[in-house]
Amino acid sequence: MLGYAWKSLGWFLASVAVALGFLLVPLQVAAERKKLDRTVSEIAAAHRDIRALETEFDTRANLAQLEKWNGDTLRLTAPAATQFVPDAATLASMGLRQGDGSTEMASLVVPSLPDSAVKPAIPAVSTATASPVRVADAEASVAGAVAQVRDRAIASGKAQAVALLDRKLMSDSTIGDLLTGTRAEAGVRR
Amino acid sequence: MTALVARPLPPRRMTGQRHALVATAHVRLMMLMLLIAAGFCLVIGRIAMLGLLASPASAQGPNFGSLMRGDILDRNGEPLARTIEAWTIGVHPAQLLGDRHEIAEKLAAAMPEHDAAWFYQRLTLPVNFTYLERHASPDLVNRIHAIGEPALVFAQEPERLYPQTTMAAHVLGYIGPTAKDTRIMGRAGIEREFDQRLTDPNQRGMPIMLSIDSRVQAAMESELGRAMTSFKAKDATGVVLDVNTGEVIAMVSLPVYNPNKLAGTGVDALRNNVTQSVYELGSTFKPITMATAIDSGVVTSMSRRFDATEPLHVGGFTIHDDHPQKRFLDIPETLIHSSNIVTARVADEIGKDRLAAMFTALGFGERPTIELHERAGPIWPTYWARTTVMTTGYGHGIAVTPLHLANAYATLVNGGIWRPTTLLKLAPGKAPAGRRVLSEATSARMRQLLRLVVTQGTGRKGEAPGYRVGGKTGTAEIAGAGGYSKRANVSTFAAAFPMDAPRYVVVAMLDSPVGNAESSGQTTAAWTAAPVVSRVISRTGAMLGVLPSNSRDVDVSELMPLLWHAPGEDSADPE
Repeated sequence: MLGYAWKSLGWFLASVAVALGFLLVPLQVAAERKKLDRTVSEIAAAHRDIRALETEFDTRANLAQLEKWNGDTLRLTAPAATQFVPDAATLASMGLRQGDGSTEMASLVVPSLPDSAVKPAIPAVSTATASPVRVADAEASVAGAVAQVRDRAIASGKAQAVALLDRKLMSDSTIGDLLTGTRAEAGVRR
Repeated sequence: MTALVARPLPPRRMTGQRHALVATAHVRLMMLMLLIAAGFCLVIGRIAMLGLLASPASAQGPNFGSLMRGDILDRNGEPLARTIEAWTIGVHPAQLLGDRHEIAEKLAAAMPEHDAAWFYQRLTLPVNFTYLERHASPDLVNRIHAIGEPALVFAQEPERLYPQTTMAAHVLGYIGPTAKDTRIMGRAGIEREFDQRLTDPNQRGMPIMLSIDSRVQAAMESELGRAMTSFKAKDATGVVLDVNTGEVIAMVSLPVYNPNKLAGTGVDALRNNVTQSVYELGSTFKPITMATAIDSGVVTSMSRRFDATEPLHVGGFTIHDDHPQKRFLDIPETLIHSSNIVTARVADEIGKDRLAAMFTALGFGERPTIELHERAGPIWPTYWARTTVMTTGYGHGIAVTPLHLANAYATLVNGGIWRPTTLLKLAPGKAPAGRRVLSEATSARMRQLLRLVVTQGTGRKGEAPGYRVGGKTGTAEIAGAGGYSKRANVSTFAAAFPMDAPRYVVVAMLDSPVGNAESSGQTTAAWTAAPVVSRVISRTGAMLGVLPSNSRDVDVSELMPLLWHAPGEDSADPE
């Protein structure tokens, strides 16, 4: 009798387990489906956001506004007929006429480097090498003077290095900017 | 003595009877249990159904789909009209908890376009609900939310937005309710014409692609707007038309309105002058008359000369030239000097039937064919007297819309095929076949003649370097009470480019311009409308795929010997 009871309990538990197992499958499916739905709705929301942002951008940058900005600051104009090249041969022939002055290259338009920007670097080196002698002679305020001199030497050395290394890579005006920058820094430290 | 009082025994039921009662009770209990079980099953089943089948609440959201309208795009896919979800801020005045003055102050601080008094008035309205702001930014909504008043409510509502504001307003139209009809639907332009298509659930996902090129439209609007302001013109119109397909690339009517904000718009601004207003377009009709003469064999030789030595007197009328040459003029010279006298003589030779037939063939007898509801019928002469034939030859006595004129010019230069104009982008190669109005040879001749008018004649200021423009000026006096006004005129320049293989027609028209220093005090088309066309072509020609070239042009060498120049002739003598 007792054995029979255990047996039926066992059957009961087993069937419950199986039933639960069967129940879990659709639950899992439902959960996945919900996740998918959520993703789909997120995508839809993202699309809506993209659309709203696009529309906002289009509205803020509408053609009337762009024209106004162009008129205020950029002042770009439509290219003239002479700026169009009909075929590759004409384009190639433009390079051939380089010497006669009819074609102006962009580099000619860039403001050229003023002479004074480069030249002072060399006297700066000479003073730097000269001054330790003076300092040794006077033996007054040694620390400060040495510091000054080192700064100057470093500054002029840097300027030279920049000039030597990058003259080929950068335009003259860029190097000019760099040089002015280093000189200005050196001046401040002094 | 003990007396026992016993409760009298109830009469005992029979055993069978008791069994039956128990059985009934069992049956009832069973039924009750089944009912309860069924109830549980129902609830569990419903829960299972919901769990398995229902979509998450977040996925449903507010369903804008049913309220959406389709987008309207230009030919390059730039949005011209869209429906977006805009935040609206409203209030239930009766449900306000906080101090109304305080809330009004805070609202005014957040929305500076109205003052606190205005908001206080809104907060005390005796209504259940009222709007405070229709087009709020999410940021503004957050700030209003921070006030913490539960009676202030927010909602996202679909809203029609025209990102380019006033651009192409007359083409797009607007939506909204009217005084008689409270439904929000298209009330003008494309919005009205394609209302069904834009709101149809099956079709609104597909945007409508217009033939308009927004860059060209913007250039035309800015140039025309500048000219209109400069010359204090009453209104101005501009059309750019593809000559080979009939697609309208730009359609401008000024003054313009903002479809985003219609309140306070005048009737003048709402009218689309390109399709709704008719004008006597004057000398721009002369090339049409000449084309008719050439095509019908009235004029077989370009060198045929007509008498323009003195004004022409016909039936009480006198036809003058604005710039009398006082000599015999051949056909190219007639167009270059824009001679009314010679054109009238040619029209007289053509005769009523052939001229009217040509006007009919060019569509001047009916409203312009375009996908707009706002179209006006031309004013056609009621009686064709001999003088009527003569005057219509140079564009007086017949009034058509600027779109009619643009399409007629397209026919003149495209090889002689008339096609209906359209605002919808056509797929490549899907242009309508159209109908032949002029012969190929006549059209080729017209290209030469129109180019000559620009290089040698009244249209010089319409030239755009490299784009080989050809066209004709027209300065018509405005008919009013008591005859034609000598003061006010309609200045038109109708042009096509590039003349060696025409692609586009550009028409610009200024109504009643006032001369100023820029135009040397002139109000004629050469000084007012032609520069607009020149600038528009210079700005947009390359975008439209026309490569400017100074080495190409239509061959006019055979006509050049026909032009006679007076010694010391002033080359700048535009009509």
